[in-house]
Amino acid sequence: MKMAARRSALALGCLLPLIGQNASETAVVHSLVLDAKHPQAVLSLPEGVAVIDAQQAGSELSERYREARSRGEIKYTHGARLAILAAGPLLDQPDQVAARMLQRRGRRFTLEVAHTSARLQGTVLFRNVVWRPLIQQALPQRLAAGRYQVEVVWRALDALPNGGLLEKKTFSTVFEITR
Amino acid sequence: MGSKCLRIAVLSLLGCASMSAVPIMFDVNCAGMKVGSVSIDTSGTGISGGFTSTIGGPPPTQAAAAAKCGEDHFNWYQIVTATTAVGLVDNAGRPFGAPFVDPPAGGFGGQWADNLPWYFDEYRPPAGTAGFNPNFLTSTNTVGDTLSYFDFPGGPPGTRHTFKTWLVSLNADSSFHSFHGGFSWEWTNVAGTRSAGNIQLLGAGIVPTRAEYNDLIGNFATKIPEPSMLSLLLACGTLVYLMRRRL
Repeated sequence: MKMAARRSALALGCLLPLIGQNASETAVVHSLVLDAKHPQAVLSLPEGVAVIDAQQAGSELSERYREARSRGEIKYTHGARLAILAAGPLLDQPDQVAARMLQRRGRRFTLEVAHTSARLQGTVLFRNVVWRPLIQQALPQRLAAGRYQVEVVWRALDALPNGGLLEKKTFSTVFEITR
Repeated sequence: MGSKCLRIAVLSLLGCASMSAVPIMFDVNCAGMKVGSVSIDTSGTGISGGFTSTIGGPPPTQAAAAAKCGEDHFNWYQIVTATTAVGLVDNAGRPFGAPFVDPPAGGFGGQWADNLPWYFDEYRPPAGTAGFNPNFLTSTNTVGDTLSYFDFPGGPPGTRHTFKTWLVSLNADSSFHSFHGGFSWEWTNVAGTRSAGNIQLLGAGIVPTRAEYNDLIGNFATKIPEPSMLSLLLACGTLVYLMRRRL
């Protein structure tokens, strides 16, 4: 696992976080690069979205993502520092990812993520390593009590930032804020 | 009779489309002693594994295995023996085709590679070099007792690449020391289904032939390049100039 952490920390040049309205809204793209000793850690990480308590100390983000997804709808107390974790498709070495600004409409949050896809474009590759993007996006603090929906849209484009659409996938989850 | 022939043909096609996914393992010996083993298996749409040392420490280390073999460290040597991909051009604009060393000197498809014939890069390029990925450095892939190995090739439907990969030991300047066994394998994209498999041991003591090594490495350096005489003269000249200005 030490090697996985080391690999995750390596900037790939595919980390293209875009700045939102303020620092707390910056989306961070973590690249989970395949570790030959534990390939399934990256290969079997399911695509999807989860909401976690960002203040809670714990294991690696990918483990917290798995755990939050397995719990289904989660209740958090008012004032908790929440973050969206969104795992994307398996990508290849040349691919790039860019998260766009988080949008809010009432009790629905939408995060759009654009990426290239060597696979969908049939790019010829010889030496190659696969990786999976894991997006971390802070949610606004002090959300009013109630039920919220988070939707993450992954758009595979033939080029960033505004290339032609190759594929679109949408994942969503719900969480509740209690008093 | 006709339907029987058709059934046989379909089964034959299916047989070609689905590759065997049996992992392989072989021991690595030096000076009559086992120093570790190589294990390789399919992994999603590619293959992965590594060379794990069994000596040193405890815990065992790559360095101890290398020392026992009278060398500095390990890497891999990989060639593409055949490919359906056509019109291949490396990063320097040189056309190439199978058989060739993977990755080609300087890299391919925008991915940077060093100019040594080994699979993982032995050194970093100047800061800011486009296409450099630290995940392909030997140092990134040598952790504790293991030298990792992975490859996840790609190509459009109808693509077939075949490979041969050997464990190679190197001296401190990254020059060749010796081969330590290898395996062959293949990757296909059959109607959008990508898979790797048919991993086969090349057999104990089987090293690359002349056609698989000597004839392919003409474009490569034989060791980490040293600063050229011109660079040294320029550096000395600059130093002398700066010293004279200070006086």
